[in-house]
Amino acid sequence: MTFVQLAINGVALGAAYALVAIGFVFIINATSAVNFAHGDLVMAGGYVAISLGSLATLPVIVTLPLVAAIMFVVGVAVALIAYFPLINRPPATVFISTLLCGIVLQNLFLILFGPQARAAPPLIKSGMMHLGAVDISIQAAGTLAVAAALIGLQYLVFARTQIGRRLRATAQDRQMAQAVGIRAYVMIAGTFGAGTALAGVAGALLANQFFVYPTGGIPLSVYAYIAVVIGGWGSIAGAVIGAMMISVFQVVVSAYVSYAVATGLLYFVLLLVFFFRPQGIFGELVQRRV
Amino acid sequence: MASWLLTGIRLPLIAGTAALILYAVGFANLYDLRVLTLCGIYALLVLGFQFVFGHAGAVSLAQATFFGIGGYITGILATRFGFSFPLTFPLSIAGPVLLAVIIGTPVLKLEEHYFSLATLGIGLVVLLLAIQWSDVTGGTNGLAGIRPVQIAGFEVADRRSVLWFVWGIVALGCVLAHQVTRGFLGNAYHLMRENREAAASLGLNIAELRFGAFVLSAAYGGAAGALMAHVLHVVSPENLDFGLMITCLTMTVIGGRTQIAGAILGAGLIVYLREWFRVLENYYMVAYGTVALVILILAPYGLVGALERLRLLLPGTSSVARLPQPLAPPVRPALPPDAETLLQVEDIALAFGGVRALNGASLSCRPGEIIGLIGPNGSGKTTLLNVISGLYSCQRGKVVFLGRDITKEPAHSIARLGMARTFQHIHLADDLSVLDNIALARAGIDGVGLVQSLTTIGRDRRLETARGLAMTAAERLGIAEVAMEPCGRLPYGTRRRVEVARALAAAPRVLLLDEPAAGLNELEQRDLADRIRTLGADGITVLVVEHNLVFLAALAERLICLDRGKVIASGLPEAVRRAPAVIEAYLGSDPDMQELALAGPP
Amino acid sequence: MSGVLDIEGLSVAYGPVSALEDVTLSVGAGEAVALVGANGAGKSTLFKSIVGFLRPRSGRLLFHGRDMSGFGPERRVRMGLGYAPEGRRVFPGLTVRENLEVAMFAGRAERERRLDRAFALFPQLAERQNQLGWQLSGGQQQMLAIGRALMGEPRLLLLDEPSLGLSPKLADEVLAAVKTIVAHGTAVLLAEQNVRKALACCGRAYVLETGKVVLSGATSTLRNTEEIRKAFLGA
Repeated sequence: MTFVQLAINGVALGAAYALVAIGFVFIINATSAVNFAHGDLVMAGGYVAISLGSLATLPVIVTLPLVAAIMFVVGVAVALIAYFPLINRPPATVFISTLLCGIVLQNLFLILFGPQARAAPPLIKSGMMHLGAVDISIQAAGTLAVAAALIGLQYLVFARTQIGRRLRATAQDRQMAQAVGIRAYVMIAGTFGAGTALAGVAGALLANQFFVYPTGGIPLSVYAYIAVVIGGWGSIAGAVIGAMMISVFQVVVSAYVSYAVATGLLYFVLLLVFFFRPQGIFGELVQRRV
Repeated sequence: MASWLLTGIRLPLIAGTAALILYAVGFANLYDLRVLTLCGIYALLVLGFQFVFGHAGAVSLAQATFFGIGGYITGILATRFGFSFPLTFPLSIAGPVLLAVIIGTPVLKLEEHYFSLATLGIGLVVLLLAIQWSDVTGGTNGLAGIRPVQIAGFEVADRRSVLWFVWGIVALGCVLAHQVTRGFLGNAYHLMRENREAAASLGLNIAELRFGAFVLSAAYGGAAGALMAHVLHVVSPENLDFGLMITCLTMTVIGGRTQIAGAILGAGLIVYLREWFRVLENYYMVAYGTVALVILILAPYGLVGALERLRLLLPGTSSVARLPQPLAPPVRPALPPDAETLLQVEDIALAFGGVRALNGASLSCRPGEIIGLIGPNGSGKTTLLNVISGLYSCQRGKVVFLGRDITKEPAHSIARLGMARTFQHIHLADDLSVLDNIALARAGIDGVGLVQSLTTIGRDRRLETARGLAMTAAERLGIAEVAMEPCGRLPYGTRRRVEVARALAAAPRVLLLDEPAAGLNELEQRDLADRIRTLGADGITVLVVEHNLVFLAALAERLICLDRGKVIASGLPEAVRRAPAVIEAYLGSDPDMQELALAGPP
Repeated sequence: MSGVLDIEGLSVAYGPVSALEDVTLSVGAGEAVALVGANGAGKSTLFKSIVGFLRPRSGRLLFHGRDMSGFGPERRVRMGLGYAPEGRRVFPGLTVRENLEVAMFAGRAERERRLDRAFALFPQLAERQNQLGWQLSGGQQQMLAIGRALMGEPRLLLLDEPSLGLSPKLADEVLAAVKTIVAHGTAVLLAEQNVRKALACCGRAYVLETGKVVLSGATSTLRNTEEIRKAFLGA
């Protein structure tokens, strides 16, 4: 494979990771807690896509809105079970509750779908398309397009719409949001829903090339976590950049050395980042209120 | 004897232990023996995890890594070099400890979430190493054929002996954990977990305490891993993986985060839950995760923690068994007679973002002086106290204490030099008795630590001395009658006085009080003012931040007024209260009002 | 009984600490009322109870004669309460314009009209429409907080220490806006440390001391009361 193809695959994978990381940041911003079930919710999205695909042989692009809608509901359910009962406890408690939630999800997958890795139908169809001198897999190109569209869409929603402004206001100061009339708890539940929907879509996109299996979500949670650390806690743009860096690094290093070395090096680099820049590479975009 | 049995959860604990021993001796079959052995190993793992997670309050995700490393060291040394237990076991503990020592300092500096991720990252690197370095580790298959424990030619092979052996080591682990957490050090961890600033300003070195807990957790993890290798006869990457980490975390959360009984209960319950839920076949992990989640929501301090809390509601439960005799406080070496200024603050500036909290504040205090620091809301009073006591570092200026530049010193060193303080919002450990809260003032000064706790056999005389001193301070503040009560149960005014008593028990040269009268009624205020005044007479310098001028009027010899981060007036109380700049800061620049203020009481 | 806000016998406590005791107070339609008292007298606590952040131990809170005790803050605000808190608390990562927009529940045209009104009241904000909240100076943040509280066209505006940390000139500017707001028919309850300024822009005042109303009446009579001096500077 040429370097250009590698880079495109890396960027396509990164786009899917970016969706995962954005959802992860949504929840961090809304609750200041880490959702460690996030990777498992990505897997859930993959399984939903597989189930829908087995009901009717439709390409994923058709069922994707339904996947997103179902995962939105799942996300609200996770908020009701693992977050709201613990809302006044320290963030570490929420972290543990999401870990436990993840365990339950992983084992539900095991019961419902078995231990083997499974693949979802392709986004449109499998195969390659020719673009000048390079061949690009249609799945990669489609993933890139869908992810780019969703990243753009979430940007527009957050930046331009009243609901986006209310979500941001709630994330920045929940109590003050209530004091200007915003239903903060509805916004938080909605944020969980939206973040989970993005994770689910990412799962449906990844599930064709990279498969889904019950414990496949754990590394994804970790990658999202790392992307956020690289990009700066709470920054959506930073998370996208972080996710891209992780995936390109992974794809390139595993092509030339091995996947294991790529992963090991990734963690090692992460530890270096911690050591030299504990505030993340890009720092925090908004200063904390003093 | 009867009262000893009834304190805390001793009675159910002893009854439970006896029942278990009876079961193991009389009724358990081979399978039960194996399950009980595993319970012991997990209990040891959890006991270790409690140090870092429960006592130090840091969500480490490296406990399984320490466990795995311990197992691999035993496995490699036993299968490849034929070393036996007396050599492999200490090395299996030393390996994880070494790793913890190397990574501890940088990693423990990170904030909460970053700390968790960093420890997870370390775990994943080690896991990859175990899988990839297959020449040594056996790759994904791991190493098989690890012999049972052999000591001096005697092999611990049959399941009943293995059970006793493992539980013997668990018992040893319990004793050590008890040594570390029973008295002074345990209380120090308790306060540090609830409020780091308060602990640091009592002279406790937070970084050192956290480091100690992390290293101990590694030692326990390594020991448990080594035992597991001998019991299962194999080590594999499963011993290192995230699933085990979650199991360990779950056991701790469910059993209890700081109690030894909690470690055993949590480990036992989870191991048995899995066995019982096996009837549910595939659903057992789902059921198990759900039960853990429900316990997390309903009993946030774990099952043993919940029991303790229930008991705390009953009267007559205290962290102190009986009241000690008050002891005379140690005498600080006399100051040189020419010491005019004890504390000198020069030109301090500190900005948060664009807000200038302090903007060139200067003041100085003589020995034995009582000074009131006043100023409108947001004028920088508390910020100045935080700079003086080392909790904030200033961007410009200098703080000199006892002739020594302490501007760059950490809070705990400043505290040990003889500076004590209270906080605007009360920071006490609610579950501890009044006496133990006050006694904590001595912990930092006496330099409590792991080595000292581990080598103190029997009665902890340092703690007894500290309690004696605490009793004196409690008497001075008039709270001796409630000395055995847990702080959380006391009314607000009393808790305020506990905080002042704690600061006093440190035998400070300078006492910084941040709004000590807030929330007190007039009677309590007058009483507190009287007590503070006697401190000045004893040569303690007192700097009181207060907006209650009535309270200060009866107390302070001198007033200093801050406005927008600067000192705008300083001098005798009457003069400061009449200074136009002060009146303007409080009332605005209306000539009518100024006239009124200057007219004084009719 | 026909006031905008009627508080009867309100007591509030933080755990064991009593913060307000038996406070009775009312604000009539279109009236400006000052709430003065030293730090810690309970002004902010009273405001937080009115907005609904704190649950009172006893007493009644009537807004236009309706008991608000069962309602959460967002409902109370939508009923016509505006709140500019102590410390301003503008949304740091939202622009000035967004800070204002987020507080409105109205159609686009109506939103534009209200934005124009806020910008007319505080021209400095119009110039900085696209700056983020945390980039503003303290005075601008205060203007933004007041502007934001007005976006729901409230019938009562709660202003908690608007001059806190501001230079005297800026404080005067902010308080001048209060007069304009009252002139437009919104009732104002103003907590201020700066007594003169508070009394200058309000018709009536209540003096709080350690959680109790110790004095109340028309500002013209209060200005010369010994009690006010005492409440601030001690006997």
